[in-house]
Amino acid sequence: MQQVCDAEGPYQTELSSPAWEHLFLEAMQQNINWHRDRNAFYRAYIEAQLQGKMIQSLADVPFIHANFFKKHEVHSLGAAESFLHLTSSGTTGQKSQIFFDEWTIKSAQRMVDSIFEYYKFIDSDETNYLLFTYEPEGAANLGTSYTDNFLCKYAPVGKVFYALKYEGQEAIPGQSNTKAKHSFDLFGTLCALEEFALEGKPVRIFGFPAFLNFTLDKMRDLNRPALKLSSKSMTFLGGGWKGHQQKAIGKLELYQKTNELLGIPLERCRDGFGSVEHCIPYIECAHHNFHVPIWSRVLIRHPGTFQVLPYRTLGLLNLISPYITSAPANSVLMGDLATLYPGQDCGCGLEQDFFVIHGRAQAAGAAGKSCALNALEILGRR
Amino acid sequence: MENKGLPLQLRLALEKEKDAFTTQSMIGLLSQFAKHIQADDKSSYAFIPNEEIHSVVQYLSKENLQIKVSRELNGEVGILQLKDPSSTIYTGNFPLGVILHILPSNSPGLCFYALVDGLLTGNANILKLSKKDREGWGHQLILALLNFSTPIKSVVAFVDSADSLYGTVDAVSAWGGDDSLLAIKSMVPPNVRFISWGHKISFAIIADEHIKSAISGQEQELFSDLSREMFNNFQLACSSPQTVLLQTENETLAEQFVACFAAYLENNQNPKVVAPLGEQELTEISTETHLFQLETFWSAENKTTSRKKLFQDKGLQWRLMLTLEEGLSLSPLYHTLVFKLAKSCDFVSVLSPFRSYLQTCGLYIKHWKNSQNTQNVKNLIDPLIRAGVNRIRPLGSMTDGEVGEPHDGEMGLARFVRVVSSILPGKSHGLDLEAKNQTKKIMDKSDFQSCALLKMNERNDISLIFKSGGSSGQTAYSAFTEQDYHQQMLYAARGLKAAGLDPDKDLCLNVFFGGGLYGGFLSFTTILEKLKAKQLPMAAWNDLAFVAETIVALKPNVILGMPSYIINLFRQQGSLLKGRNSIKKIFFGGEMFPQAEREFLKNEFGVELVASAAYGSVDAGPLGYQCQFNQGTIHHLHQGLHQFELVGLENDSTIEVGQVGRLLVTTPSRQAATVKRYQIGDIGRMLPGPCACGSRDSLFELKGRTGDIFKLAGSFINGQKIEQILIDFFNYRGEIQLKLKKDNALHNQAEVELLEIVLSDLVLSRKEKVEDKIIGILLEQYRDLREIVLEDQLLKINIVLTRPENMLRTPGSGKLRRIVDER
Repeated sequence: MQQVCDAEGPYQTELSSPAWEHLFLEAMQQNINWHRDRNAFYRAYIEAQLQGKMIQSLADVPFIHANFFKKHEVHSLGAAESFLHLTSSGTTGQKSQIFFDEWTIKSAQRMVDSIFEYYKFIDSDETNYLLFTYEPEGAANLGTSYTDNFLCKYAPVGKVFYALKYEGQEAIPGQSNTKAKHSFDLFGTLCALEEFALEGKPVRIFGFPAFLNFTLDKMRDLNRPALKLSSKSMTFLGGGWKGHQQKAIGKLELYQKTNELLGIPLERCRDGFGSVEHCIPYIECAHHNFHVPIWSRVLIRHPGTFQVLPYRTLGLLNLISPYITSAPANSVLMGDLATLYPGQDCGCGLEQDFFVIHGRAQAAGAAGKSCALNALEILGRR
Repeated sequence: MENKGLPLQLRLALEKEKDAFTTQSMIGLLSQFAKHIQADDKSSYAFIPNEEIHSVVQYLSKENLQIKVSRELNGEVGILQLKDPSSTIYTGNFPLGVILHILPSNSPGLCFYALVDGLLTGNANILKLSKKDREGWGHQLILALLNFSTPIKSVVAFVDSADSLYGTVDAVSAWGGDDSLLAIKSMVPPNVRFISWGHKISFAIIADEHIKSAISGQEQELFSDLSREMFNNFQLACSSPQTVLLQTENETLAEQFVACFAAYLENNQNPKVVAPLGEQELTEISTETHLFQLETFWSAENKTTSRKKLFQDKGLQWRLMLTLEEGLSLSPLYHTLVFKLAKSCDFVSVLSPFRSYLQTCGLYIKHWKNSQNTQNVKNLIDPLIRAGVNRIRPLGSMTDGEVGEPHDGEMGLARFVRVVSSILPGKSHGLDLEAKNQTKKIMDKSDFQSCALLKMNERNDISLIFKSGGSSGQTAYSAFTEQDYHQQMLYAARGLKAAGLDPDKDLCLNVFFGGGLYGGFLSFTTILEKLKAKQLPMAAWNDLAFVAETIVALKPNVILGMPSYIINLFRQQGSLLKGRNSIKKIFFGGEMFPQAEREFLKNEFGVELVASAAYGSVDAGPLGYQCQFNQGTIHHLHQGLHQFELVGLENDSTIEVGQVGRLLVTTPSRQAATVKRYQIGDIGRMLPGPCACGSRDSLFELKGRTGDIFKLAGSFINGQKIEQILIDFFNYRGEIQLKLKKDNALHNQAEVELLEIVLSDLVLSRKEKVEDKIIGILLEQYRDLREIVLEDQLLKINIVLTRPENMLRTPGSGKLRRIVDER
């Protein structure tokens, strides 16, 4: 396991060799054993699935759907060993609770370092940051913000502007404690952009794509002039369209707009994909595709039978990695529909497989077919 | 935008086609369409799936639609009627106007049935179909229907977008899940009725005893019923069970039960049943199953969570998910049953999270004849209903429907009408002095009879047939459907109340004739029931002593019956009744009640009121009533029940107000007979209102029977007038019979006729040449008579005194034939 996680990455080609395959599989078996010995539920599950046999291929690794982690706190470590506990800001109202140990966290950070280095996003020039994320003060535990803060270390921080301003606490209906309130500061953002454009330093834009899109649309509506930010600027978005699903546009369209209105080169507009349950970062290449780094593997599974599907076939996304030791999330089945392609199909030069996300699989299939009540309808209401 | 003008356009079309949109005509149109489908041999209707075509044809049959309208709406749409005898207002169900239907995409036939509901209630319909619906057979069938019927076509429109319609229609009828309904509802302003048909959850309950006996292999039928529910229509109906509640606290037994059922399914699986799972459904089912499976491991290791167990078909065609805790859960359907517990009968708690979504509960009812089992099942019903269940059915038939049953707590058709009240009935009833229907033929008794015979053979809902004798002597029949009869009795009840019957205080002795198909006794029994009055069902009992004793013993204060019977009763039992008579009010019918006899009863027996019970006929039903301010020959007409006209005595033209004419009756709502401009034989004139009693029903002064009027020696003579003269000048209290004969003589080449007036010799004595006196007075008082006797010399008059028994009577009812034409 250590070897896999320590391997130089992120996209070394010689590592797609049978030797590496074997190593990866071994690491997975170790990981399985690790959790089997520490988590009763997982042991029962593994026993039922593998019946004492070793895994022969990646497809053999028993997977767990991400929603399961939303319902239950699954640990393989005692609470004391938890280094960090992250909650994901799930759109369906349920939050995943994942507990990470120190080793896992540090590994994840090293991975991002490695990827940023590969794409030459590590710079010594002072950079201004426009963060479409929640301003801290009660927001530190939200995974997305944390990542963003962490991302600011790749270029020295000049100014930081948080677009989602902290507005104090608000009451939570039905409970005695409060939660942080944030609101989007449009005019502050427009002002910051103009200021950054004038200053001429590279600008890094991180956070939710919905708010960047909204800002750009407003620039048009208000007839603000297009800005020309330094060509060393970049965007690195993630976290989905969060409750603004209806306004979601394709990421290529968003990058076009960004390029047109802010002057940021298309190949420096990047998206990130990840899940709290499976912390491997997936970052777009210059052609905007998510290549799989060496620390994880991706399988696409048939939505009905869960059989592994070949390249270029749509199915459910299955993310596999041996590096999480705090919880048995070594093979997570996502609710996203995706297609896996061989690296050559991309054309950016990387040979690693990449996947394309096609959106969430509908949670309630019978919804359109009958007048019987279904889960989607009442989720928020009970 | 074209949508904007659409509602008005449709409303105008409805106005134009209003005759086609009465409930009966609509039922007629739709049933003809059904016959057309059935008769088709060119495969024009091949687009209807085989399994649906029979249902469609059967649904649209006349009988089925009548039942539906009757059950869901209590009758008809578009007619104002009296609801109960004490009411002074007319109420009725009327169409809403224009209904915008927003249809779901999950049911290809639904759009057709939704349209039928809209049409049956007389509404215009705008249909917004989903893209999927447009390809469905329901849409095709609607197009075929529009092609078939022009009136229907003019009130149906399709739209792609409902924009700008939400605020201009009268109602929006929307189908779908909560989210889509919420979205639609937010666009419907408060003044427009929002009718929603949302998603529901249904479930089944298995009782403890059956769980045990199923485990020991004795409940194959239960398993077969449960499996039928699971596989029927892929479990997609709102009435298909999503959860099965096991009524037991014993978790082991629960688990064994589900295991046995799983084994049953494995052994009895129908290999042909493969659910048409699209990608979304597949994903949901496999994801839910996978998660549930994980839960089973989780619950095994974490004792705080309820234990779970999964049973799955190897071919992945079905799943059983058992959770050992109380409550309902949603299932991803497509042959996935959730099993949970219901330890007690505390359904209110168990079902509470889903209360407003509850629909059907299926109960296993084994061996109907086993009364213990049925009793156990019955014990569940009230608690279930109180917990919010709207529909209870046997396991195995949860999705079977019955026409006219309520849907999700409401009667479907009732949601498409508005209930209207008015102080006067609508144009189709009441008094029409303009005689706009002049082109329609006037019906006489024989027309009535032949139409009635036709109807009697045509309809299979005739529920009552009376004999209608009448004064003309031939036996005729008068048929009623349940609706006819009760509607008429309702109006008659109101009339009786207006005449002075007090349902709260009166005890009524009903001595009308009954039996022999005679209508009197039975109809007044019904009338008194409608008034909720207290009654003594005596009928015209022969043993008058018994009747008198009853009066003395039970002290009724009201008697209802025929004058001759009542008069006879008091005359013969006078000694018993004198001083002990409790009767204060007499309501009579069928004959005239001579003034002298009224005086007799008032003076000798303390009777206070002698009034007509009703003005009517057996054929046409109750026509009118008297109130405390109008007696004698003046009646209010039941304008809520009939349409009345007055036409000339000798021709069919309209007459002027105040003139005497023949009364014609039209009863639009009558089902078992055709009553259209029916000449009932009465003549009279309208009197100006209003009446002090407050009723707005017009006042009619009855002048006599058309039968009273006869042509004699070239002139019209009114026999009633002759009778009146005898009563007034000779105090004649007996019966009068007028015989019209030929005199066998000639005067100036014209035939001379003879009027023979037959009188009772019990009342008049032969002394003092009373016959000559009578003729003298007649000629003096009756100018028309004088003319033809003295001036034209074409008539002779003869007075004959004889026993009443010798007078000619009708064989059936024994009524006197007042005019006998022997020419």
